[in-house]
Order: sequence, then structure tokens, then C-alpha cells
Amino acid sequence: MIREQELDPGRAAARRAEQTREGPVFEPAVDIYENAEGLTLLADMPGVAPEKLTIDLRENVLTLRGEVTRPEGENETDVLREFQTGNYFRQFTLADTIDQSRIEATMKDGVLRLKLPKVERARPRTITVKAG
Amino acid sequence: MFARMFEELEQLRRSMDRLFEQTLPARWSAGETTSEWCFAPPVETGWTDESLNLRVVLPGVTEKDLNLSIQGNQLQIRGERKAPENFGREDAVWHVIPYGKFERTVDLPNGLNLDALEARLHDGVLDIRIPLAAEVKPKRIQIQVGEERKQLAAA
Repeated sequence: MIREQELDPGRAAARRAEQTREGPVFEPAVDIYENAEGLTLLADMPGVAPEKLTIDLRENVLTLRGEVTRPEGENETDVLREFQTGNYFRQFTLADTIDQSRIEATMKDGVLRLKLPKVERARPRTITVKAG
Repeated sequence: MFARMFEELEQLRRSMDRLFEQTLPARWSAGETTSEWCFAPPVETGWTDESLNLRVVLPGVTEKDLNLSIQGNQLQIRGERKAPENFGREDAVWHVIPYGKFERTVDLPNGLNLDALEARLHDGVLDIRIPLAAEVKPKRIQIQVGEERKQLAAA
């Protein structure tokens, strides 16, 4: 229903060209949950303010892009960098069973929550058997 | 060229970290109560002329689930990242984000004004700023011009 977009070299080059800012790009860690109503995708994007996140959907490809607000101290001397600030980028291909017109996104505490509802016909149904 | 290489290395390191986070807590939680914590959040540290800045990466953690304390020269960050509501493990089709208790201890160097520590949690990052103590702040030293020094030496 949802699968990771394969990143071929051409696409990787395109994504680099699309970047407006210099710096490294990271893939956010993602959890995906499924229930009868649809899928919920959670993506860790720490340091990304809600207004710095763009979600783009075209030709069944969902693109998440988040820009990290760099800390005020640009003139800092690095001591320890376990976590490098950079921008986030990840793409997924959606199946036709996702109702693309009803996708909802919320961003809170650096975590993106995307609700991807299933189209009616894809939802499980119980069919009542009438006694003949 | 080098920047690209570092980027790739960093990318690799992160995926390795993710792998560890994925496998280790699962093993520990299998009937073990000895180890309470599940993961250690990454920390970024930087110095300026004014302060030591620390950034602790804590996506999905709210202020009420976060505890910051100082003991001696150790800064301790503890808390819990709560699993999302309305979902169980059985609903997960893809699961890599670690949930549960976390703990991280940072050894602080001397020369910091710990009483003036400021901490702010925003967008899943805990920003900590600890000003340098007045006596260790860099001082600009006035350099005298050569001519005057000669005169002084002759006097």
C-alpha cells in the first residue's frame, strides 16, 4: 500500500538539484501503522519547525522534505557531533488504495504524523449472510 | 568531495544507530527488568566565546516527560518517549523509532556558570546553553606598538 521510493542515481541528482540550501540530507526514521481505516506514518524530523516542512504529492509519489533551523551559534566550535544538523528527505509511493484527497498531516515536537486513509472499497467489510 | 564522503559516513552511522536501537531494546525488554532504560539520545555540543551549547535530540518528547538535573559536574537528561496513542505494536507494518525511557549523562568541564543554565525544548530538540564563568571567558589583550616597547627597554 505504501512503499519506499527507490532512489536511482538520476533521482538522487535531481533531489540534490532541488535543494535550495547547502548541507547534508538525511532520511528521517519512520514508523508505519495500519488499521481498518488506513495507514498512519510517523516520521522523526527533530529540529524541523512545522512551517519548514513541505509535503508534496504527485503521480502517487509522496515527498517529505524538512528544513532544519540551524542553531543560532553559527560561529560555534564543534566539540562533539553525534547528530549532524541537515535537512530531511524521504519519498514513498502510494498505492491506489489510499484516498489521496483525504491525507492529513500534523507536526508536533519534531514528529510528523501523516494520516493516509484507505478508499472505501479497500476497507475490510463484514458481509452479512442472510439465512435462505 | 570530502563533504560528500562525510555525509555518506554520517548517513551510514545513523542507519547503524537505528539498527542498534531496533535490536537492542527488543532483546533487553524480553523478560529483563535489570535495565530500565531503552535508548540514549544523541547530543551535539558546541562552544562559543560566551557559552557551551548542547543540543539533545528528542523527537516526540514533551516537556512533562523530560527531566534535567545537575549533580557535581554531570548533567543528566532523563525521560520517556511515549509510544503513540491508539496504536499497538501489532498494527505496525514498519517500526524503527525507539520508544520508552531514555537516559544520557554528559560530563561537563570546569569553568561553567551552571547556575545560569538555560534549557528550551522546541521541535524535538532540547537546547541547553551554559554560560562560561567570567574568569574563563576569552579576554582581548592590548598589544603595545614596537616603538614604545623599545623606549621602555632603554629606560
